[in-house]
Amino acid sequence: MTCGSLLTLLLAAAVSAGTPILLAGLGELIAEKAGVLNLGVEGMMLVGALTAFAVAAATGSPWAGATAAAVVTGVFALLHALPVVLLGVDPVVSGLALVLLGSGLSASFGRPFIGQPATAFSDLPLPGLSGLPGIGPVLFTHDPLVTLGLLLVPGVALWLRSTRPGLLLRICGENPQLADAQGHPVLWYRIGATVAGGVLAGLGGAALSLAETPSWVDGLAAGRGWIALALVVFAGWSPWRLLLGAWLFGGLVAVGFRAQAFGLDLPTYGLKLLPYLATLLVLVFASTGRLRRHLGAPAALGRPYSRERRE
Amino acid sequence: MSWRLEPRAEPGLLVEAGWLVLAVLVAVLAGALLFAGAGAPPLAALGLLVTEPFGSGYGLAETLVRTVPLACCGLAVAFARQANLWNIGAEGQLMIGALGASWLPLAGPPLPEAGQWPLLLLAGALSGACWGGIAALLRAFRGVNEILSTLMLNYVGISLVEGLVHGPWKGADGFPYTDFFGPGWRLPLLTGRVHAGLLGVIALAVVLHLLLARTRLGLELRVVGAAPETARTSGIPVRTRLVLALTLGGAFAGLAGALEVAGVEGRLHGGLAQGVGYTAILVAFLARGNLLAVLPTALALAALTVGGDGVQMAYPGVSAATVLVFQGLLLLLVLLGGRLAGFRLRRSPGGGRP
Repeated sequence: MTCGSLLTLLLAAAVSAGTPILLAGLGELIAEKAGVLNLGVEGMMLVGALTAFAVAAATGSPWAGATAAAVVTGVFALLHALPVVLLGVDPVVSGLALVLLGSGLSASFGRPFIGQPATAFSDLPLPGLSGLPGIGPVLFTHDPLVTLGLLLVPGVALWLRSTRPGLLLRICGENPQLADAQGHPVLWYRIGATVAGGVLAGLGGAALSLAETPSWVDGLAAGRGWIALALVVFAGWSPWRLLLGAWLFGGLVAVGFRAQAFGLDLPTYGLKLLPYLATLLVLVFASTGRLRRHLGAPAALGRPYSRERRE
Repeated sequence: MSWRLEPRAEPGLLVEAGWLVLAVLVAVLAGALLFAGAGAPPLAALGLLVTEPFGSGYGLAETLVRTVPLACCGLAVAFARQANLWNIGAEGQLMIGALGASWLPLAGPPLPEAGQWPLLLLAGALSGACWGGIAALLRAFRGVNEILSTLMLNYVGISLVEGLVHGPWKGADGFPYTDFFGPGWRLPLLTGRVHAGLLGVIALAVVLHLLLARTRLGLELRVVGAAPETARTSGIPVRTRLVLALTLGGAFAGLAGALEVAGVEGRLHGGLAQGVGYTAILVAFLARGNLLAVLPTALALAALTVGGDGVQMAYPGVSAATVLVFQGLLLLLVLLGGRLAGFRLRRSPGGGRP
């Protein structure tokens, strides 16, 4: 194996392993842009991963699996969205409840699927692009969910930045009073954004159980939901920087899982720690001084909005 | 004419209690549905949830044994909550506490037998404090969100223990746990499997309660939590207090790990925590910031675990994770009930919009 083809393999593995984190992170980014903090990403990814796995197994179609994951996880996110947005319940506690529920539900209903072969996505090389030297095999020779992630990054960035509903969603996260005063339905925007976050976390889970590691085990997400949360902060709520972060972490995950396959003799448990330690490191840098001021957290993030109790 | 929710000035105790009872009832009902869905007769299974943990001497002992780490970790979460910090890292702090405690018998200097288990507990608490201290320093001096940092440290802590028991600390029989430690490292037993740690954690809760209620430090922690600006202008060293709240929390969770090693397992292995650190969040939430109330809520959730095991044993269709679902529902419903207690339903004449 030449050095070049090894690098290509590793980069391709990084893009593949980064996709679940990217999709879930994009979902959280949308929700947070609208002002809703949802710590339940890990639970939502688990629900999505199991739904995708089970429906794909039952129907024989990974497409049906991914669609079902998106729908079910979107509905699951309502458990967070309705109490938090409508009643102003503490989003931290509600998000943690979502993690407990998601891990519990997926582990309960997932028992029969442990050790079963997955009805996985097969790679769908993009015509024309996959033949490009270098980036073709790295970016464009993957399963359809990787491609979806690649399309969503510019899509979400453009939508948030340049469209009227995108701007309104951001105003709901920055200054809900203003959006309300102008007659826009703040609560609907916030609920919608949280549900969209659930849909994308579900697709992230599907990317995990139908593509990255086609299988089902308890706690399959293994902290990826939490890493996605940290990456949204690291990315300063920018989809493009989120993409970079997701690839970086995908690379670390890929190295951790594939070191032996690449013939590297490194301690397994040390390598598995890499993504978590790197997340800590990233948080340290994303949280300090100039950078933090430069990043823009939505001003009303995690704060409830109601007309009666103006803050 | 339309109905609308409007905020209530001061929800009475009765209203709050009513919502709490309603939340628990709905959670129990949902639990019954979960059992029925898994092919267990719901009433009999619900009955087991009560008789299993309290109905026999063995069950009661098991419940008390499981109460100890839950109460310790519950204190770890509730103590940090005083300063408005979320310690989601009790799971990892427990594991690192167990690791530090096990280091003494496995690789530490020779010690006289009389001092062995007290030093082991101290080592556990110190290791847990270090682990919590990392997140504490990052939060106080770098502004790193402690929810995310303590959570990441959980994965790191568990992996460290796994790496050790699969590697250098592997026992003589080749399985991923250490050899059993000598008798001097084991806690005295009260009765059956119940060890002296139970008395220890009760004492700890009382001391912490007094500390928070009676001392200047306790007041400072609360002011830092409730109004950091006021704390700053009143001359309270905010950063030091934040560090203290999370670090001491880590010490309590680390102590839980040491107690599990010295009181229950007698050795170290990777499955020591089993989600206790996460259940502890529920323990602390239900105790509503009252450190004494952590004891009964820990007992209740320990009983739920023992009861859940019993149901699972009697009806193989029921998964171990059903308890997790129930915990999640309980958390969500009690949260919701507590919030709804702050509203009243009013019929407003005229349009729905104010």
